[in-house]
Amino acid sequence: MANPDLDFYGLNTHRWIGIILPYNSQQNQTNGDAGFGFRYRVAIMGYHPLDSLIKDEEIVFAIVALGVSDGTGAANRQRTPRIAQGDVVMGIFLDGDRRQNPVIMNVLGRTEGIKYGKGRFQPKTGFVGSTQPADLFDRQESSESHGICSPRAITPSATENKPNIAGLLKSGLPEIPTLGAIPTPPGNISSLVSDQLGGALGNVGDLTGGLDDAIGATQEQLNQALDMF
Amino acid sequence: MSGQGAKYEVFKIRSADGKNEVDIYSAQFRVGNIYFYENILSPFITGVVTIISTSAAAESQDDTQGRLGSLHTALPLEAGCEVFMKIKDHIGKGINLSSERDTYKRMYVNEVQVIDKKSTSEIIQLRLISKIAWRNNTERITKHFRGRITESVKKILKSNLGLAGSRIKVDDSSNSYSFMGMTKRPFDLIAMLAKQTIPKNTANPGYFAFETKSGFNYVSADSIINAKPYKKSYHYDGKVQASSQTKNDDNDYKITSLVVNKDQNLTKQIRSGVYANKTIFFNPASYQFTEIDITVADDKLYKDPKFSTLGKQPDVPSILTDNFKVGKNFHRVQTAVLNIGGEKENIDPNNSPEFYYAAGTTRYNLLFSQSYAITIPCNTDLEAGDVIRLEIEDITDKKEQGPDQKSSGNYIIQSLCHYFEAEKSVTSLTLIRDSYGLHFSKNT
Repeated sequence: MANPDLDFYGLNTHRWIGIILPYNSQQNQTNGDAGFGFRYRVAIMGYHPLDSLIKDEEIVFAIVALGVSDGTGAANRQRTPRIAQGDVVMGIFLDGDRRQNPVIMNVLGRTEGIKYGKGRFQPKTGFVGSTQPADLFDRQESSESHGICSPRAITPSATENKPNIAGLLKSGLPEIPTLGAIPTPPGNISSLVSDQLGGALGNVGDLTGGLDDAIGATQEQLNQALDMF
Repeated sequence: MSGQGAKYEVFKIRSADGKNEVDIYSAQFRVGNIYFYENILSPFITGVVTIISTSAAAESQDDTQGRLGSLHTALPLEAGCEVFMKIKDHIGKGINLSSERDTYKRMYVNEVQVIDKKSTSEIIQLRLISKIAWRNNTERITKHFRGRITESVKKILKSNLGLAGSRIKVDDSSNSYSFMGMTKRPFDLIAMLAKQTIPKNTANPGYFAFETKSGFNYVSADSIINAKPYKKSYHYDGKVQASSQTKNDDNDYKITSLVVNKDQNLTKQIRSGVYANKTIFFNPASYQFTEIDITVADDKLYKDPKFSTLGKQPDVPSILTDNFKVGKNFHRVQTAVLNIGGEKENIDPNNSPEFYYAAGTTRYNLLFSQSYAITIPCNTDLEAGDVIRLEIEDITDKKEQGPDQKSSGNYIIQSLCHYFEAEKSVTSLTLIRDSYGLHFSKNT
């Protein structure tokens, strides 16, 4: 018979999966007013009870392992963890089977379908404490393949998105879009373009001649200076 | 007189549903033999009983006509049955696990095996466990504990295993630990704590958690070593004399067989860090790695003056002393990441392993370095964890010089088995010791 205890995530690898406990239970550590480094209280699946048999404040802190490109703080290179209450995180126990010393290794992104709740293992909003919704992004709290819903330029609502009829009529254009409404410019377009280009190229020739004269004068000054030595 | 048969003053089995019961003195079955086990490495006591049942041993409660049947079928004999037994032996006070009131003073059937089945009889073997053995499997601890480790252990024993304070023997610890149950079973949690517990009177870590017929023990290796030996010494010699000749109880304390299971192993001891150990710790709060080298050459590990031994404090082999001189200062490496702060928002290490890692390893490894197996006339006064004194005959022509100075001395009973049957009863002991000699170094 298979050992029933083996059907347990991370039993042999000392890995675990859990949820960050409410901000209120770890306010001083999160705000940097106490403790050290980055630590979060994590309720770990299978190890901590769903009920209130133990208080959140009795649950051990897990330190955070940062990514290799986040920086450790050395040479002023650092990125702070983007971890909030209600985030689901994964990690390992640094003390193996004793399971008293957890470290957070990764996070699992939130999906749009999550439902918030008050239970220990229920997701909660990340907007808490000093983290409040930004004006542009509003209260978005998911991370999925289609990306974040970002702002785009829109027509001011005062125009109600209607064409400027008066402006069109003033320019001699019809109210309704009509083919050929804008008249053809007078004369041959191609000869106009070549005349203007020819003039421009003549100006370039004058500039080149001037540049040659300047280089010749400089060269002469250099030669005189060398003769002096 | 030695090896006398045991008397079963009480032996009855109650069915798993509690509705049916058979008694050895009123039903047609008999007990072939009983093995009763204790071990300092086992948190609960166990036993094995062989029963010979006739075809009319028990009345079935399901049979409206009240017909008799075999124990296995009619009682029925199955896992969960309760066994009440009171056994009297010649030397000790006997084993009394027959309490009607205290459910912790009886045994429970864990397994039933039918060894032989005939048309008129059957031989059944029952594997027994104590109440805390099965109760341990019904408990998962999620609570948080803080304070002295031994206080936490007491709470677990009382609230999770239901043991009364009178059946718990605990040596107070000096260190504290803040930890979560992490849905571990009580014995798993207690085993985790035993390695980390440091007794109050010494700095030598290492505890044992085990049950004997008297109750549950959470005691330090030091207190076992320093315990007073059993009142009588056991002697091993080639003389064979009838009790009628000796006219005293000499034969009651005679070792009938002695086998040396293990007598030191240099390479194993070196590898296990008994002589030299390096421990490396990482403190994630201070970002520091700390290396601690400790060796017997610096009067550390078992050469620590506070380290008590059962015999003469062992010497360091000169080959190793020479080795230390050329700078070979560690044989075993252990590492750990410190648990800083625990559940608190501070930066204090939570029961730092710096205090128990190396010393605990040495203590356990050294304690099991010698192992003897002996058989003696049944003595139910002896329990696992007791110290007994052996006097082993010296192999010499001059017997008047006394017992063998090296192999004689105090030993710890690591495990015992009391064996009872109608004709004889004996006790088999596995003894362990950390050092040689009759004289011990005691630490109080």
